Amino acid sequence: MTATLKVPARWGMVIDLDRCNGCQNCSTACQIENNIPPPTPEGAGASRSIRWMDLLPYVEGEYPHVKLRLIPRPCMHCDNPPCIKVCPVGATSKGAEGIIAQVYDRCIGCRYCTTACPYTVRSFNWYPPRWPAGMGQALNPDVSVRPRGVVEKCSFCHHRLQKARDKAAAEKRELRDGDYVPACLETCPTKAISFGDLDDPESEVAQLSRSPRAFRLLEDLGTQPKVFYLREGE
Amino acid sequence: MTHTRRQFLRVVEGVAAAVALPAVLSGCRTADAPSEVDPFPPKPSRAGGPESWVVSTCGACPGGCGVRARVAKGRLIGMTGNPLHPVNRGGLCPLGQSAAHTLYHPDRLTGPMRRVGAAGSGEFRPVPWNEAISEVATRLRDVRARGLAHTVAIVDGTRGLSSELASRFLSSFGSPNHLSGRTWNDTRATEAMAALQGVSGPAAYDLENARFILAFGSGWLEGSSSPVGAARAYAHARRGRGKGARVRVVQIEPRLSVGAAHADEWIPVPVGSEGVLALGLIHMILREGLENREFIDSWSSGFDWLQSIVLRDYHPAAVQEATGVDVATLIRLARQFALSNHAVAIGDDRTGPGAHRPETRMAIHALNALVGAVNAPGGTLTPMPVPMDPLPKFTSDEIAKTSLAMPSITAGSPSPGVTDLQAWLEGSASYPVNVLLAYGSDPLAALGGGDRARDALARIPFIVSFSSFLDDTAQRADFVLPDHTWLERWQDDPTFTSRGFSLLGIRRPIIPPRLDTRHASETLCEIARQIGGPPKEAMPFTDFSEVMKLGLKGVHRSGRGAVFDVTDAEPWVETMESSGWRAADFGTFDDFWKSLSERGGWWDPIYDFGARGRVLRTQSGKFEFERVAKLYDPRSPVDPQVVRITDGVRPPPPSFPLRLHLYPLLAAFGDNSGPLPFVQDLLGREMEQSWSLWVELSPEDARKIGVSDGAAVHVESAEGAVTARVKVYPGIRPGVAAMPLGPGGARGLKCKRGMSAQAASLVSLGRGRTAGATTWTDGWVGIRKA
Repeated sequence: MTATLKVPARWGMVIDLDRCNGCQNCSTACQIENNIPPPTPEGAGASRSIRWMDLLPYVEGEYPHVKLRLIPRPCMHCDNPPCIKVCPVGATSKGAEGIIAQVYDRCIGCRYCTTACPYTVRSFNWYPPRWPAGMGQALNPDVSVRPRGVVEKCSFCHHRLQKARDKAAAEKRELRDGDYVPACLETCPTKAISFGDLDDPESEVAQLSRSPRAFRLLEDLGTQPKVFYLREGE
Repeated sequence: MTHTRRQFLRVVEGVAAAVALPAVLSGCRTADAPSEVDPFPPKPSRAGGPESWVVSTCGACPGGCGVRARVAKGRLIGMTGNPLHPVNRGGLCPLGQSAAHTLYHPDRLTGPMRRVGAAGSGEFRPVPWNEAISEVATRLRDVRARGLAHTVAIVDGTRGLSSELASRFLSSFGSPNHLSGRTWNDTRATEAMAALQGVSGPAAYDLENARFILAFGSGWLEGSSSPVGAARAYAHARRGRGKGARVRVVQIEPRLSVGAAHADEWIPVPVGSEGVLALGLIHMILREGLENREFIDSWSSGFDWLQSIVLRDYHPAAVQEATGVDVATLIRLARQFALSNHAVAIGDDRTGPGAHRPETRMAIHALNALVGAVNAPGGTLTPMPVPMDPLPKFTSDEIAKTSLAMPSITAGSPSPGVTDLQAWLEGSASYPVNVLLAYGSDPLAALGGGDRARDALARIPFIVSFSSFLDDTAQRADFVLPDHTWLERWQDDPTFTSRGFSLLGIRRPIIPPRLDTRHASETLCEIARQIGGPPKEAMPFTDFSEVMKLGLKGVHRSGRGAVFDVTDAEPWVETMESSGWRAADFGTFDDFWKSLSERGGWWDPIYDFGARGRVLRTQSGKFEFERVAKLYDPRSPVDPQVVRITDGVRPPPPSFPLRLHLYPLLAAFGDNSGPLPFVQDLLGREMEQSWSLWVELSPEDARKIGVSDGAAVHVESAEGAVTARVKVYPGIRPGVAAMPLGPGGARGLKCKRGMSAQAASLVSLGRGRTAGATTWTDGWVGIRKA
């Protein structure tokens, strides 16, 4: 845990489906942390609710041999991301540490990226950001609010990396494993989510990503996601 | 007037934000609702400005998780779990996570109100606090002077000292009618525990030490009174016990719920037949000689009676016919359960519609006793109490003594609550209810909000609600005296962990009260003082934190337990204390109080397995199997809704061919805080639904009715009708229509609530009683295209 992180790190996430009970707190924690406007019934009816971290349900089989799988799905922060290749204005790019960034000021809202992403993690802001009267007082000062007409997605709570770096610098030390945690992980009741540097062999994520239970979504597409899942079972 | 550069920049920043985002803050009803533009808060953390973290206890549901709130410039801007709190260890659920939305909710009442229109009209006008309190006190004083003190009832949704003050108020005033009015999921196995063990209050399930979890119904993961506690227990069972020790979970219920989806095996059974299956398992365990003889011989009574019924009537072939579970599965389950050494059977312990009937819970609990999983590691536990000091004594008077001797509305009920109130108002009343105080509770919502519940409540001439929102009951109240939200008040929150350890969370104001609201307990004290006499003497308190200090002196003096600490300290405290090597040294009381407020609370990580007298409080001092036997004996006359194998399969009533299964949604419970938009949006995500009520049908039934996914239908029962969308779901037993119990009710709020048509209104309270408890009617529905 106390190993010093190399620079640049390669940030990745592991989600243990054997721990997750599908409570969706990751989803809510993310929406509140990242100032996502509260959804409305009208928006939800048109499938326009924005969830950077969503819970995907899969139903398989016929009665009585039915399986219901619930999979939390953030941005995969692919090492070979299809989304950035289609952006005509360079509004999305892969950072030095592997985080796929979105520059809202550059985005023209063409939504090529939302179509290109095989994981459907990208959301378009169909509405101007609105909060029920008064609730906007609780906005997180660390994250900007996006205007209508731009695309947004999970940033691995990138602002928290900046804060963690500032804090480490103020304490005159290097960034350590566990200093930088996204909001979804922080309050996950089952501790199903791990986060850290995949290139650091000592880190928890690197070790878990090598588990025999580990898999990635749509691996055959060659997108090389940096989000790993651990399947259920021994 | 001088302006600094900083002030100037702040103004510019505000204007810029206001221009860039003209509608950042607007009412949530429609896009053109009156908007309130609020510049973004400055960036205190980046600017090195004042930002602090306040430790408190969540009050959004009965779970009692510890929270850490991020506060900057007097605003609540973030919420995480308290990593030191033993219930949640840093985790939260969507309700707690949305705390700031509760605090800044546009539908909060801004001050006391008096109703001016008809009941339910929602027409109120603001009234000053002193006027409201004095009118309520005058009314109560009159009732008392007329010798009718016993006709005042409090429906109480609080616990700890808040609840104790309500009880103290009533006993000094002279009423025996203190009714529990908590949300549906907040009663755990009370009926079974009360009947079989004579213990009032909930059971804890030691899931941390169980090796096999047999869950009946969908209560344990979704409808648990501590959702985060249940989630943590689940994760621990799966991955917390090391290699090769992954706990096996079997789920028995008519629908593939979120809990069933996470189990190793899902066994679909007809709605209401869980008790029959439990007795079938008892039959197999007895046939194989796998029962725990030591427990049965030394600690139980009436086992022979139950044994004779079970061996005669609940043989595998009959159980297979009644439940659809084949004999091989039955034998396998019975062996796994009895041989797992630390197996536990969990029923659906919620109260309210859709939960298990009392006889079902009792049969399931009998299964625990059969293998000795009562007051044993990995079994059911009876939580230890928190050693609080009693509040000072007061002198009573003749009026109080005479009135207290009157029979209570809830007499004989194993879990006294709002259901007893409705039953009383509808029929058996030997005296009327003249005044109802809804204290931390929405009794009408707890009763399902249907017409019958409304009619019953309409018989009460004077209702006072302490709600922060205009909830269902508040809309019918004569006065609403709004409480602070849980983020603005002091409160003690006694609860327990799954291992039965007692725990006391400290709830403290995270920010000062935003609106003209008052702590409900302090309001009650003020009312009591204005009434005069014994209530005045009993309730002298003006500051709730002082009441907490009085009670906590007992914990301080006890020398037991520890202030919340890091996880590593837990086994240490446990080992030292259980071997008698440790007595806590909390320093002076002021030190103790300070460290409690900083860390979030106190707990005692030790469970006394020895004292059976504490957990078996029946008259015989034993676990009374005869109570189960009595209900299942074909010779005993019982409520016709009791499901016994000997009564045969009940045919559906004409024109209602489908059996209704009402199930809890994760995070929907305890939602007494106004509609929270993120929570509203996530409810039903697992079924790809949101915001409106749906009904799940098996593909077979959907075909028969001629409806497909998304079709609008009317769901009708003998009690009422609702409109819903069809969700065709293969994870449901044919012949069953499943509907979620969502937060509903409360019309006329600015923020929309999903599922406003409540499925609960399709059932109603039964007129009969089972084992003393008022139960809900079985739901049978017909579905027709809208």
